[in-house]
Amino acid sequence: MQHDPTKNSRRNPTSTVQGPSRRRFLTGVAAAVSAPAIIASGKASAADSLVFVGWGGTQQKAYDQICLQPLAKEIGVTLINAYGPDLAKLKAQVTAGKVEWDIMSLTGAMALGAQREKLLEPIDYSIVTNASDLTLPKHEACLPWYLYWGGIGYDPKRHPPGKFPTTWPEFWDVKRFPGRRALRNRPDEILEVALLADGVQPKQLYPLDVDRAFRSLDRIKPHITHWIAQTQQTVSLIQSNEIDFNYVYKGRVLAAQEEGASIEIADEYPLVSTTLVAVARGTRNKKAAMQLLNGLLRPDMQAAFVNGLPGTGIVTRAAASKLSPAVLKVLPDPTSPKVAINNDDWWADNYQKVALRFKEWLLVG
Amino acid sequence: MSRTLTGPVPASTLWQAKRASPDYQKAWFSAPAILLIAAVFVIPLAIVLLQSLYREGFTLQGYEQILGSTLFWRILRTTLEITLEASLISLLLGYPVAYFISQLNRTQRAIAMIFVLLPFWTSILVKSFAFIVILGEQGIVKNLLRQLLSYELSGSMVFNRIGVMVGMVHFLIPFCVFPILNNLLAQPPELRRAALIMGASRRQVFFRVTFLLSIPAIVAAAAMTVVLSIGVFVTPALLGGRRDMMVANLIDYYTREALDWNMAAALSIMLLAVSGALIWVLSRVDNADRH
Repeated sequence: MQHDPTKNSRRNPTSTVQGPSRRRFLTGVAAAVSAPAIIASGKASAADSLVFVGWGGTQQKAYDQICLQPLAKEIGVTLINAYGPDLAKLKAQVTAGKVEWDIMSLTGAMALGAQREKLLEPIDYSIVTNASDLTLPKHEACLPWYLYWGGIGYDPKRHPPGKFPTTWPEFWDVKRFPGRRALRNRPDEILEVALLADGVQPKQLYPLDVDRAFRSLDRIKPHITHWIAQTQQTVSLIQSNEIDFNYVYKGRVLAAQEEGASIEIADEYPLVSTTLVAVARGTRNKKAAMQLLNGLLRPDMQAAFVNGLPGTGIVTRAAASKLSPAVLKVLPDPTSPKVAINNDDWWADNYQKVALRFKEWLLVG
Repeated sequence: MSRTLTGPVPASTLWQAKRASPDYQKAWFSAPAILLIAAVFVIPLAIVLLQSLYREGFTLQGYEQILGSTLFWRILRTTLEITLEASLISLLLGYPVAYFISQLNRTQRAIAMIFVLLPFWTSILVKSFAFIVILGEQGIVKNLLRQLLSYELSGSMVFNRIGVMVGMVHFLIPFCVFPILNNLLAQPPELRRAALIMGASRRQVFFRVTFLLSIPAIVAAAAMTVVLSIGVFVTPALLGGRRDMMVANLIDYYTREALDWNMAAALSIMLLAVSGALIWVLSRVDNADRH
């Protein structure tokens, strides 16, 4: 059945609930923007399809095959992949009352920011029953999906053992470990790293001592040759010998190694962060979306995801027994005193203020 | 529209006379273009303006917040610096290119145009990554110097202002070459010939005939480069250092991360005002030249 966007917008006249011209205009934009997506979906009609927005690349291709398509088949919907979750686009869709995205994969700060802005559908915990098995706190409108972690990246060909930093205090020690350094150009994860470097214990990070973090960053600032904007550059800058040490993600390093790159990560003291999933407010397919979220937390799906995507971790207890030995070997133990865990709630409350201070801090000196 | 609207033409320069008597019958042909501009530019811009004044009711809070923040003034200064530097360098490099191409015959000109157009057709993202490969520590330039001359170039050519300039100028040069080349080709060759016959040297012909006649095109090119570079944010983010942050990056932050569209809109309007002011200054230069 071919879906006709114009017909649909007449059936649900958004103008009745919307106010002045801005919203009506946005409706028009949303309709125009969504038209290609609907056409691209081919036979799928709005009622029996779900649009999943992820970060793209080989990762999304892999988890689409491992979890999304099998789960969609079980639920009886067509699943369409889209790329690049963006809160501004989400806000435009929700204000226009024409939501094209159903489920999104989000970072902690993004998910909780969207939740605060009321852009997300509250999680229906009567459907998402697997959430009771989560090792991390549940939220009103978003759910942990998988873990990823960062450490210190280096090229083992250029830096044999003993020549690269293995802890964040060592990363800050530019005399003992000379080399060009890079960090991300955003405060989340980097403030944590700065506090770890200053001697804060991984389990005592929160609430973050922001002033202390900036004092610590002041010390490393002259030695940071590059503040990385794009995640891909965390790996490519080491490969192109542009930098020696930086903050990288395990998953990215493993993927680069598979392609034959000489890159390694020192992650004995990892900083673990969470990727969350959420449902856009006003989705036409709320029940199916909730069913899919529940499926993503099912032990077999959790295990299949992490076994298939090295460098990620599970967020439910029951999946632990189904992990492959290779995965168990690299997976950080969240209870270990060496492992720092990113606190999304703290960032949700403080991100905006800290982000502006960080931007200003980058510009001076 | 009726013809009676066209009053008597004031006795003035030919240039002004042309402007004062538009053919209103033909004006209808521009209606589709005007409608398009209204739909995709004027109305959205009006919405942005409203949004910059609206935060649960009418407010100037967004503007107050911006004007009171040191972050904004710092970033605005960087933005203006980068804009003016990039525009100036592009003009200085683009003019000789345009002049050279104008001296070629048809076939040669077509080939030369392809070289100007190639970067114009390439995505700015692709170009930026290519420049990292070319200018980086292990890049083509540094490696060639090392291997051929065993010379170690100190200092970086990328991830600082130099990198930003290379990326921006590369992007802007076609926008300088087109209007200037157009102007140079339209100049009647008789003028130059006459100057030569009257005993002017080649240098004098260039500076006192060709260059003077091309000033309007230079101003047009400058306006284009200023407008284009004031809104750039990909190039500084990829090729620049930590200090190379543009107002557009700040707008991006408020739109996508802070979700504060009131601030984003207010910043956009301020940026528009600044680029409007720059264009106004440039148009004064143009007018001063005409009279």
